[in-house]
Amino acid sequence: MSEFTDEQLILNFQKGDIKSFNEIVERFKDRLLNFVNGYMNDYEVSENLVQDTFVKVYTHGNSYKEISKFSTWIYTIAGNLAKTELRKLKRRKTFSFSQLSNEDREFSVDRHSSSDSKNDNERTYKYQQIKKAIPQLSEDFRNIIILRDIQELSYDEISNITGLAIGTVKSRINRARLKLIEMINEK
Amino acid sequence: MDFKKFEESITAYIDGELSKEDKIFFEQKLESDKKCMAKFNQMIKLIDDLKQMPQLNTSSNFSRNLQTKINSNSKSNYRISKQIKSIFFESKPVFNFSLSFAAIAIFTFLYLNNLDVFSPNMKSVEFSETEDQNSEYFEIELAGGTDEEFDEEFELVDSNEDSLLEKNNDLKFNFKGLFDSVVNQANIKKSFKDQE
Repeated sequence: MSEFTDEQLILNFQKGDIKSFNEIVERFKDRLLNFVNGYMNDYEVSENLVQDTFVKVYTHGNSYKEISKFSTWIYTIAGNLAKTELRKLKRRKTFSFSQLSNEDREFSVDRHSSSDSKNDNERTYKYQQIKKAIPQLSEDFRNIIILRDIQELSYDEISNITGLAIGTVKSRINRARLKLIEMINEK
Repeated sequence: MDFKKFEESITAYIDGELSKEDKIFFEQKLESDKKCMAKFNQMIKLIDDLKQMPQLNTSSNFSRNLQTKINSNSKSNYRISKQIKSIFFESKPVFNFSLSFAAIAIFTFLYLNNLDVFSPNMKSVEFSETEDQNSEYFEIELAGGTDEEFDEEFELVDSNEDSLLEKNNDLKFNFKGLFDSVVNQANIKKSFKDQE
C-alpha cells in the first residue's frame, strides 16, 4: 500500500477500497494535526478538526478530481474547517490567543537524536522558543511558515492551499521568517 | 543594496531565485556588512531548526474516534434520507385520500359558486362611498393601470374579440383571478345590500 501515491490511494478509495482510506489517514493525520494546530493552537480542537477533515474525505471522496494534488485538496479542506471553527470561536468571544493550551504539552516525537546532551538541551530550549513564538505570529505568517518550513510543502502547493499568488507566498515566507527571528531575539 | 533590501532578498537568495546581478550585490553586502551576515546566519539557522522541530502526533485513540465519527455521520445521513423518503415516496393511503378529497372539494366549491377563477378578466375594483363606511372612499387597484384605461379597453372590445378573449382566458387558473373573483362577489353583495 505504501508504494501508492496519494492520488492513487484516493482513486482506489473512490472505487470502494477502504484500506486506501486508512492509508490516507495514516499518511496525513499528523501533518494535518500540525497544520490545523497552527490555526487553532489547541491540541484537542485541532485533533477533532483533523477527524472532521477525514470524515469529509470519507463522505465526499468522490468530489476529488485528479486535476490537483491530493495533498492540496485535503489541506484545503482542513484549512477551511479550521477557519470556520476559528470564526465560530471568535464570535463566541471565548477564544484568546493567550490560551495556549498545548503549550505545556510535550512533543511525543523527537526527530533529532544527538548523543550530546548539552546540545540536546540547547536544541530543546530553542525549539521551545520557536514553539512559543509561532502562535504569536499573525495567522497569515503562522500558516505559511508551518506549510513551508515545518511541513516542507512546495510554493505551488502553498499557493493552492492559501489562494495566494506564488510571489506573495514567497515574500510572505521571508517576512514571516524575519518576524520569527525578531520575536526569538526579543526573548 | 541597503539592509532592508538585503533582508527582503534572503529567501530568494536561499532559493536561488535572485538574478545574476542581484546575487552579486547580495554576496558583496553579505561579506562587507556584519549585520547582514548575522541576519543571514540567523535565517539559515531558523530554517534548519524549523525543519527539525518535533511534530505533534495524534493521540492513540485517534483512529477509533474517527471510526465512531464516520459511523455516526453515516447513520445521520441515512436517517435524513429515510425521513425524506418517508415524506415523499412512501405510500400513505389516508393522507393521499384526504389530499385528493380536499382538492376535489375546493374545485367543486369554486365551480358551483361560479367564482370567476378561470377567467381573470377583472382589472380593478372600486368600493363606493356608503353610509356604513363612514363616508370613506377607497379604491383598490388590483392589476395596475387607471380606471380610464380600463374603461377604454372595455369599450373597445367588440363581441367577437370578447368571445375570443374569453376563450383564451378559459382554464387559466391563477391566484390573482381567485382574489379578483372573491372581491367581485363581495362588491356585488354590497351593492345588493345598498339597493335594499
